[in-house]
Amino acid sequence: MPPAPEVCCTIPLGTPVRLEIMEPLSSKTQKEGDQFKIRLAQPVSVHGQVVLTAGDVGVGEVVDVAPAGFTGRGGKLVLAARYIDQQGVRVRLMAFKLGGSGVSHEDSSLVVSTVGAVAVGPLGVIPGVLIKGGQIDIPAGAEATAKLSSAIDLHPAASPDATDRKTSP
Amino acid sequence: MTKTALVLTATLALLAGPAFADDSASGSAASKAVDASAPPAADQPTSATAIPPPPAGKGQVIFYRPWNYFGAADWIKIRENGAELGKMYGGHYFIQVTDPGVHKYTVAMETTDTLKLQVDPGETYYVAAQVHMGVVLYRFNLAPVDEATFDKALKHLSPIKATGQGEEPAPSAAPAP
Repeated sequence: MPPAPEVCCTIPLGTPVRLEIMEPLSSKTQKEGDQFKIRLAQPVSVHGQVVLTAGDVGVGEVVDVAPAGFTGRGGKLVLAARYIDQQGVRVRLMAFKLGGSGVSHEDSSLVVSTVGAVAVGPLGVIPGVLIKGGQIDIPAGAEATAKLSSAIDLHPAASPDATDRKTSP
Repeated sequence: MTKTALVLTATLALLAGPAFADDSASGSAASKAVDASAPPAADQPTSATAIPPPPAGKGQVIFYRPWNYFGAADWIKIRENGAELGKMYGGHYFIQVTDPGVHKYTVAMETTDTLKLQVDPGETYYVAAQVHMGVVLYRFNLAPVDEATFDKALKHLSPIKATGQGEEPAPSAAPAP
């Protein structure tokens, strides 16, 4: 039985990581507390040794969600990355931020602010009441970033091709 | 109109941190490892506003209210667990330094809107109090936005102190849109 590899490296607190969201998310369908799959999109090395491999999977969580409303209120979707699982070790994450490809609406804008207040609904009804705000839709594969929430000691990645290991969604 | 009120979270923001700065040149992000042993970048001001990062071990939330004719003369209160954090007329912002963790903020006018944020140490979040029409009055909702959006709004904003840290804002102090 081969000996377990020695811990080689410490990844510092705050180390940035690139992530990929593995499933579609929507302010229309998600619930608060829902968990979703993420994976590492870019390996992390320490002194030339890869310790976190691209493809390592992890978990994110929906912190807050609200569907778009009928008075022009836009949807809300607040997400957090919790951890990446690296060979059974949970690498805790914080400071989750979605990359630019995360919005599928036509204008591809991260933020379009209020319009309901100045819009007039059809048929002369009360202004704004029938104006429905946009949902937040994040497609599978959307890129994101996060940081390590604490320093962690890890073994070097096991396989030679581990720098670009892929897992299925 | 297909583009209505689309609001995305401050935690859903474009990021181009120093560690990723060379990715566009290298082509594939996945092909190049993040070097965790490289010295960390020094703390930079949070945005173009030169707002400093939060104190060590703390996070901060910047609440702002874009200037808007609707409700411009009425102030709104931002609260957490019933405690007032600050109140704003249109065209103001304040900074709330807070402990890391999940925070639940509210704003009330015709209805009450809530926003939960995961605040992490060393991070700054931006929340816009946006007005939209209600059934009788107007309503406000708390919308997390990204730093670029806040920076864009900033030219129409004036800073105020959070509740308990200074004087209340005066309506006349609000800059014109």
